Amino acid sequence: MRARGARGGRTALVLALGGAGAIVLVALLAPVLAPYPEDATGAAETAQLLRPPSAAHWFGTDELGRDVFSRVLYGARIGPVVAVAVVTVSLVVGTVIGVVAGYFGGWIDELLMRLTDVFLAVPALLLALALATVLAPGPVGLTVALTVTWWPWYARLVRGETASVVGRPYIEACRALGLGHRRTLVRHVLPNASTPLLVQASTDVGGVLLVASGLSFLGLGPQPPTPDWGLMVEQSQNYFTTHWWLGTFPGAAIMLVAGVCFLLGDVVRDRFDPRHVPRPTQRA
Amino acid sequence: MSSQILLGSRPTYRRRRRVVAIVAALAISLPAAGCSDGGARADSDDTFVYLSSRGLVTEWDPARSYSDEVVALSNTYETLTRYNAGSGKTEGVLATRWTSSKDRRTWTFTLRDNVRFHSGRPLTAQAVKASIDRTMRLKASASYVWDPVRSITPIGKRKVRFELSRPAQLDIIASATYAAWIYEVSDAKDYYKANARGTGPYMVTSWNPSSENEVQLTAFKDYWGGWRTNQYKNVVFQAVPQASTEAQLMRSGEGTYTGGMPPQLLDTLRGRPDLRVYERPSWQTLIGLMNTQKKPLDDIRVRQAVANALDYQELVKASRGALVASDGVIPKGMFGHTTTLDLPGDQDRARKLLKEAGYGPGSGRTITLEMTYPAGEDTVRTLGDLMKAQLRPFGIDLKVEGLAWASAQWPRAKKKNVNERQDIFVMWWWPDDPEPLSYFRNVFRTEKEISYNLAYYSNPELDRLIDSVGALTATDPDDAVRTYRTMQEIIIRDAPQLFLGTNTYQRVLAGDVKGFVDNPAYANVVFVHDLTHH
Repeated sequence: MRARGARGGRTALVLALGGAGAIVLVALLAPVLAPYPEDATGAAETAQLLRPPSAAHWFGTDELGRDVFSRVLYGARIGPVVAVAVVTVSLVVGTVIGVVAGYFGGWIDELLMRLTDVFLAVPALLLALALATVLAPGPVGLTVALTVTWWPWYARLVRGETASVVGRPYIEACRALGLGHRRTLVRHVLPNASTPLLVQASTDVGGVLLVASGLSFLGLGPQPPTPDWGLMVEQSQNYFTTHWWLGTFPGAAIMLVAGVCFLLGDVVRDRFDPRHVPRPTQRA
Repeated sequence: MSSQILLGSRPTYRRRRRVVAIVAALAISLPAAGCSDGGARADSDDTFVYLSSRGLVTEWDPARSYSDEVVALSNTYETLTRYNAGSGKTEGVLATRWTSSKDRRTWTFTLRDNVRFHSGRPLTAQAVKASIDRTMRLKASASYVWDPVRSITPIGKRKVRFELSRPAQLDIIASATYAAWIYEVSDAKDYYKANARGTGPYMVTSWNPSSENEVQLTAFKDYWGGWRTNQYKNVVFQAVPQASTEAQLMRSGEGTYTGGMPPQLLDTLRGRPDLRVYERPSWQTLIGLMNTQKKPLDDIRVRQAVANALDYQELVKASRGALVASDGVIPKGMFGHTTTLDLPGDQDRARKLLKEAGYGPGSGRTITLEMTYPAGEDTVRTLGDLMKAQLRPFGIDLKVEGLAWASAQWPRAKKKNVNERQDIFVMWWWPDDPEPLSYFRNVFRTEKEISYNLAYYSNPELDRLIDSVGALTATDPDDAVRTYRTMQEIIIRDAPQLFLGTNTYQRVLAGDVKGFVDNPAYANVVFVHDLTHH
């Protein structure tokens, strides 16, 4: 008999991959799927202000008469993209710095890790807020602000993993064989240090999405009329009591996508993290 | 105050916590919809709580005050007369009687008996002279309303004679919203700061600019008008940036008055037995001032194009009751108003003008314009988004930015470097006194030091008309009406202004308030001493 945990894992895998695939599809096909694509890019229709959900407008219309459904679909091209971009860039930057620090040790390690500490010393959200305020508000500024606050976590993680790998005999063997630093790093150190990184990164996408939406909510992200979910929730604040559909649907989209991301993160961890053993719930 | 919690959510230091905070932030918004409204009506029955969307005080000196603090200062300072927009007449406040010579160049005001300043000193003719002299000398705020005055002479203790250099309706001037207060004079630093030095029914007890209860006033015991038991003995001005929070405070009975509720929330407050909604047309216009000194709006064709490209009917529709279309610079119900002006709104003409100026679709050049408005003005924000949508097909990219009025929007508009200022400045304008002059004199007359001419506009021809129309109003009203028409035509032609609409005042008051009169001559001011409650 196979473990129940593994079977549950498969369902989660299917859900996570299916969900992620659906989000990617929606983002790619938004212009085709959206019934009123122009509403996502800055049109206004004052003849249809604040209509509740109907056959013509599945998610209703907003204070400028725009179709909320179309805007939510287009939103898949903003928040999730920012989140993936932030994690990817942070991952690359953090990995380079972490591997170099862990592999070479000594003063290089000291220098890079103290630099990392400087960034970690400032509360991350505060730093992101401050940066986003200074940078031009928009998806790019938001990505930069979040990346600057996110990479140190990866640098730390990679540095620790690298340092633990470097001491092992096979790396010493590499050195003894006269392999260059680059080859040793890329072929032998990095692959053995990458698992926790991958796990961390996949779990982070959802978290970054939530923080990015939060910053958008504070007006520090994309500006109107961009159909960013966080921004839409913010703009709907004064309508919650009277026009529930304005904030509910973009809010639900954030929740759904973040949920899928977290699920995906869990699945990745279950698959790749050797230290995470599924609880043995085997039947005899 | 859910929004306050949201905006102020403190960053926590651990990552996981942060994520949770934001999820919570997003989640709070939903239950907020169903918050209870079972709170008891304000326990302190004697306190009138005035809710406003932004902080109030930018200046305490009654001679310099020229902004939102007027709603507080009008309860601590008084004028010689007050204009009743209902009857179209002035009524006595600190003056009980006034007479003028036939040529309207000499005016004599008789002061009320037994009026005391907050300090306890009596109001005298000498004090009236000192106060108006100082206001005139400082040349700040709307002090120009006194320009016709050549000299002020106290006659005995209770009479003041004004000699004018040209004919003027001085009883109306003396009723002005700004710069007409009678106060005790001192040039000591901070003499006026967070203090009332007037004769009004209330004195200032506290001022905390960054706190929720920004200004608190309390009854002046020796007020000449006296006190009855069911009047409000305290006034609190609360800054509430979120309209939904304002609505919540009104529902729970914690607020007594709110002035600018967005329509969708206003609808939820109508028909409640514990609240009353008052609506009336106002003299408060929503104007967009176009930067005439900065590219590309320094080109008159581009300004005219922007003015013509907008669809004003749509703006009015999107405001859902908060605006009616403007007929010109002068709002309805005011001297000089006319409905026969040729206002912009011709989209074909906009296209042609843009093409002439080398812009527009197909030219390969986009016009990027930055428009600022006072943060917290919800309706204006919606209109800004709509204007952005309307201008896009013309190759104009409008960036709409809500900035805190006192700390960002206004200061930025006054920056030394023209290029650091905005392209379009959106604000509400209301008159300084119940005459149309301040719609021109303050907004479009050439200014050496920037105050409200935030289009940075200068036209000698208009300046000349502005300087002469005051006297005309007193001597030849028909000619004055014609002059005001010419002035409006000049503004329409030179296009420093966008006529976005005229506000319909929509006030919500606690149901037990009696005696409320919305006087458009004193925009947004509630004269709290006039009110009673049970």
